[in-house]
Amino acid sequence: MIDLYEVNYFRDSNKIINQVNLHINRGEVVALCGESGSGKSSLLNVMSGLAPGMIGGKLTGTRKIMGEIDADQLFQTFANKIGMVFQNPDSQFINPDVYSELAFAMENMGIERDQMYRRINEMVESFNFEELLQRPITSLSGGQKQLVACMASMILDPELYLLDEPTSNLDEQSIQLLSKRLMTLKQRKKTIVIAEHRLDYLRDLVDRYIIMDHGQLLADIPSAEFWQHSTEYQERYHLRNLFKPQINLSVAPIQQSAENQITLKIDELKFQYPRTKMALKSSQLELNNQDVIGIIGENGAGKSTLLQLIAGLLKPKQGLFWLNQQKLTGKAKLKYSFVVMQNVRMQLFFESVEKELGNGTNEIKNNELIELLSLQKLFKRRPQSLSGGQQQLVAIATALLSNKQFILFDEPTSGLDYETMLHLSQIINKIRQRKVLIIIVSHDLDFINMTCSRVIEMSHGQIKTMNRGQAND
Amino acid sequence: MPTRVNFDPRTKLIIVLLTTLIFILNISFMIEIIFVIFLSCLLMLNGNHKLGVIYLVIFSLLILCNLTIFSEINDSWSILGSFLLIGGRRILPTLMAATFAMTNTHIGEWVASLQKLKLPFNLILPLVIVFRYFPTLLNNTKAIFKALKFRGLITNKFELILHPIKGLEYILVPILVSTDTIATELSSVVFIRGMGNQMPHTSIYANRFQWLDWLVIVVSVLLMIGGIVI
Repeated sequence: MIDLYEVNYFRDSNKIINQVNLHINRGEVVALCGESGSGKSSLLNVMSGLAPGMIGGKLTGTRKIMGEIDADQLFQTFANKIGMVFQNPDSQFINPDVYSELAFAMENMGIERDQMYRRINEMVESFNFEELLQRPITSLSGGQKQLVACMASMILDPELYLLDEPTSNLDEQSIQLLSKRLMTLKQRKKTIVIAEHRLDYLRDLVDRYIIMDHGQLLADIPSAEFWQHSTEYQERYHLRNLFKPQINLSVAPIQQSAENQITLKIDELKFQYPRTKMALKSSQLELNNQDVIGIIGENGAGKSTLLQLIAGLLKPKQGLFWLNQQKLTGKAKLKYSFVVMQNVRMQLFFESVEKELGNGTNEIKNNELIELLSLQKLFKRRPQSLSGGQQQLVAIATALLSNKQFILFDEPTSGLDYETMLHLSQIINKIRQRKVLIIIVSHDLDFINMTCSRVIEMSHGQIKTMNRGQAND
Repeated sequence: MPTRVNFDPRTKLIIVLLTTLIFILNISFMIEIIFVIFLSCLLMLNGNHKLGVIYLVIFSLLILCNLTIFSEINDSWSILGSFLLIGGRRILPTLMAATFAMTNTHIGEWVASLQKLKLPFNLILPLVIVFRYFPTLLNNTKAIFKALKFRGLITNKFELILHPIKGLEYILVPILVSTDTIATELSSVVFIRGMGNQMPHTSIYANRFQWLDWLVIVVSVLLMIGGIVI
């Protein structure tokens, strides 16, 4: 299905893929693992023919995709042959709503209308997506967009699937649905290559695990062998989420000194989503910086919205915010808050990482943090030229260096490898001693467990449960 | 629930072309008014009720100013004023036609229709990407403003007015740098969804030429002929 001999790929005089030899048979399911920036996405693009054809750069060596050496030949009927999901859920849609996006690939292939209806119905049903079918794509949450991208890639039933971190923003239920769907594809002898940080759901699915580092293939491990020595491999290659995680908070609340105390109280909060009937409501919520607070919940539950309401980036229909008995206006909320958004690309402004971290100046104080996140080596790089995971790391560092009182993270670990995630957790553990309230929205329970001392679960725009450690409160 | 008519994309294209043509030609005042009313009716039928009214109000204001304040040209200010007013009156119908064409027609419909017109793929592709780019640009700009606020770089509009160059830099840098990435990503998506397929495309929306399409085309052609003759 895919043959790569001595393949190198260069872009902007950087060698991104280095001497790769890889052979993938029809019907095989392969996982690509490795740290952020190790070349997983680039390798997928080489396999799809998009690099260098669409993306630019230079390719040397021999590449054969589905028996085809000339990648340009693939493009005409690409959608029929290859199902592809990109990492960034924001820019992989052409149409304004879910329905026409799902139809789009079929329209291009000239499929009859009756058949289109049938396939869309079947697809939407298997992903429990019926209710959202007519919604504008911009109104969906990050995870919902990822599901739409997956459905769109599968709707023409191609032979080869190239998926780039399809689960990075998905909730547990959606991951189960996706993995079930992938399992039936495997049984039907489809070939699947998945770049992924979360390995737990791949256990029964994947035949081979390929580890990448600096554009090279470090190891190619059969599934049985991999799981037999999984903890060993996890340590050696910094892998993440080997087992399906449960909520089991390992961090305790701390006692804050009187002057470091932060209590944020939110009363009678209501936010109405534009152009839908959905609303976010919470009658009373008290957040205290003796805890690092995690917010979890299904895709589209309102987690990101709650963060943006706290930060003053969205205006609630009603609601009162109190910081230590002092009433907060929208402006004050903004003054106190720093958000790491889901799409961090739009919050990096300067010409170098160094300036970015110093908020425009070249003076950076907290060296320990920079060292732990190993950002030193990126200092002279342009933030916009970094990989998705690296950009995320830079944005996280700017937040932690900002000295603001509310630091709000929206899926901060979606592109991070295991070691970086551990370091981030350590740093948060240190920083929480200061006068700061840290709130983390995440699907990554491993990260929540090692970082948060209190968890809030949201569902359909409401707060469902609050847990501290094992006990409810 | 307001109902709306699904116009064929080809009708929309014809309206855009005719509108541009009519307002390049020097048409009579009467026909101009009728044509603008006609366009705003089309907008309302197309489902843009609010915009149809807004355009009509703007046009009336322009006419009103033209007839009262700048009715006589005697100094350089009135020359400038009436120049702007007449310019506005010339551009407005084209904007209306563009709004009519760009809203409530799915991209798949456009692609299928343009292919029926035997337009080459190399022309359709950039059109699709350009159209798709604008909403992305809008979303990104919103995200940038949010980030500028909490990073304390630009916290309100006054700062933008006080330091326009600095502000422009903060906004333009991420937009320009990401434009390259977004354009590449969108072109890639166009390909992975198989838009390059040379075989005839289908559309999931069952719309074909209806009597209303014909009526709209006939009326607009008559208006154009009338505009030239009168």
